[in-house]
Amino acid sequence: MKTSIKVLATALTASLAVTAFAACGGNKNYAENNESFFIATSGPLTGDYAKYGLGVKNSAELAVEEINKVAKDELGFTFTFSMADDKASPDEVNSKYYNFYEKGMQVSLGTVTTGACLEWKALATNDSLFCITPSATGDKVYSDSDIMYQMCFSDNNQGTAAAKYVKDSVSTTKKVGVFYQSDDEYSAGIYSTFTAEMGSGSGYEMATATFTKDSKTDFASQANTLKDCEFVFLPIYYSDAATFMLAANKIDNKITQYYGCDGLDGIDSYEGFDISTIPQEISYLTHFNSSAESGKAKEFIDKYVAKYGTDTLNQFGASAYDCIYAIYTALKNAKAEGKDVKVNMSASEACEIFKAQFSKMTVTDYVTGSTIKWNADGTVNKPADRVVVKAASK
Amino acid sequence: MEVITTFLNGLSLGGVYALIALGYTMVYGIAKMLNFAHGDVIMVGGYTVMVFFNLTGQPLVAALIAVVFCSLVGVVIEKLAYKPLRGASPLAVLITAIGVSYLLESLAQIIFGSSHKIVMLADLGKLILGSLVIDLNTVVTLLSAIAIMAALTLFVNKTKTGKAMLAVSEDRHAAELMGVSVNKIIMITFAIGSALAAVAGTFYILKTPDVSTTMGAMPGIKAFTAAVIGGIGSIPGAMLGGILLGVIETVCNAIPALSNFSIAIEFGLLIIILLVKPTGLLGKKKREKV
Repeated sequence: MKTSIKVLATALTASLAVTAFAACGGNKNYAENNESFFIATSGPLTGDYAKYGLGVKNSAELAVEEINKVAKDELGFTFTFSMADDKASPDEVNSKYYNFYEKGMQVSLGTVTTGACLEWKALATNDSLFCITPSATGDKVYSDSDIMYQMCFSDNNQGTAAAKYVKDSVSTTKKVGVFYQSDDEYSAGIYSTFTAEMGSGSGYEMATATFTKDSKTDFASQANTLKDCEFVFLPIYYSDAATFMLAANKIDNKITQYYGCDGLDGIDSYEGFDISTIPQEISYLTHFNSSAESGKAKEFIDKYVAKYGTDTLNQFGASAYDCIYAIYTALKNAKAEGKDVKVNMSASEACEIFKAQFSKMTVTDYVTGSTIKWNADGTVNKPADRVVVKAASK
Repeated sequence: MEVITTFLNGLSLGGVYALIALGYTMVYGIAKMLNFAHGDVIMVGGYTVMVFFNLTGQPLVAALIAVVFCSLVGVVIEKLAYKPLRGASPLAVLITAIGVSYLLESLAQIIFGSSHKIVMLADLGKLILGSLVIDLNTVVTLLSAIAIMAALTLFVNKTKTGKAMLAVSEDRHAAELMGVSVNKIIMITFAIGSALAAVAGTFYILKTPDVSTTMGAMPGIKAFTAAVIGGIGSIPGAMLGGILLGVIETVCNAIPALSNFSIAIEFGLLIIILLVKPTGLLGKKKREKV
């Protein structure tokens, strides 16, 4: 009996060791049998943030479909895109990552949400896999890394831009309120930069109300805390913002303007939410105007709506569409420079090409920016717009 | 005035927690099991209200249909998932309840999708008393919760079925020997508990008009905490625990310095109460013969 237990234990230890080494990846080129260039990512396809993940998936597939019509002639190979559901949870990322990596993933969109992206970043750094995320805005996403790039604005950018907007456009006689989710990386990150940029001697009277993932059963108290503010900054996601606005509607308040960041994208198409019942102006910072009447954004909107409808049309998707085109452009530029761009190159070989290209290339006429380039730290450099989705009616 | 408004909001949220806690406590008291799928019955109630409110435009009709539907769902869950486990270890029943919880969430996601939905059931307006402005939805929620609790207490203490419930909760085998159909009583308990969950779901939507597949998860956990604080198995205890938790949460959320810690404070209270009075505030000590 003891002998059989020893044999079993040895066998288990050996199999664990083999699995561990396999998971590490080593220098093995899992892409050596690739017949098309494999781009993959994970994101929330179900759950609270599915709207964002589905927007990314649909848009990336749309871009790949378009590129594949010409890629064979220009690069000699086509592209494949695949996306797994991580429910916006870091705990779901590991298995999704290795599944793709061992299937030959060569470049990634680095996940949709910040928390999951940080987990993805740790794994991708180990394997030297280049990532350009359409929507993980957290500052930790790009910090201390040379493989992580963003197509979206960072939290730092958004907090700074929001503070600048307040200082430029909101009178110091007005009371400024902030409502944020203290246990959310994205929300707390923007809040932190915003308050730092506003500074203690900004001249504005400020009030803050917070909530956590587990305490958002009722926003009546927080609405009461901010009811005397004329300007309320909401660095949170649209579903929570809508609930807050409805709670504020139930009490007498002085709020005239709500202002948010990219998380507010989708509030005007939130099912059941009649935005016209909100008397305040609602606007948010974005790099994509979903009501664009001309240009590349309009072209993208028309193609997207024709194929997927309007439900998941958002800036996360627009950004993913641009990510795919940026990857394609980087490979084309590398080939034009005489680099050996092969369909079956390893993730780390591809990473060197992408790092070299993204650090110097400027792309123009994209959906989320007329001119886009990247800073040395991986953050994006492009203009931002404030989109008013609901004019004030009080 | 703000203190009064906050207190009323707390009472109203507490009323919702109390209604959910009643479901937990009744099922525990009678079937001696923790029905962790109870929070998801609130979600079923929420979606039912949403569907029938969208169809009829009548919040009351939608709520009544949700009550009936959730009662049926409760009975079906009990018949299919829990009845076969009568006599099994508490752990097996607990795991089954968690399985039922995930099953309900997944089914809702398949049927309604994963996106949140706003359901504006009704805006009853505001009651203005001098400088005090009270949201009438809050008042209706609070008064309805109190009325339902009173009716339930009367039902349990005065009706034959209610007395049979008490008998089963005291001693299932003795009740059976006295001619009480234990299976029927447990089934009725599930029906009532699920109906209360539907009512709680409706009031919850009145407060926070956001319907999603996970909408019942956190209120469910908090209500379970309320039931334990009050003394699990005790109907007045569930009411007291729910109200206490609702008021504490709302007051904490109203104070910016405390709002980040509202959950920690609520669960901290649970720990303190269990340390001081392990049976909960209104729980009774039971002597066991050995």
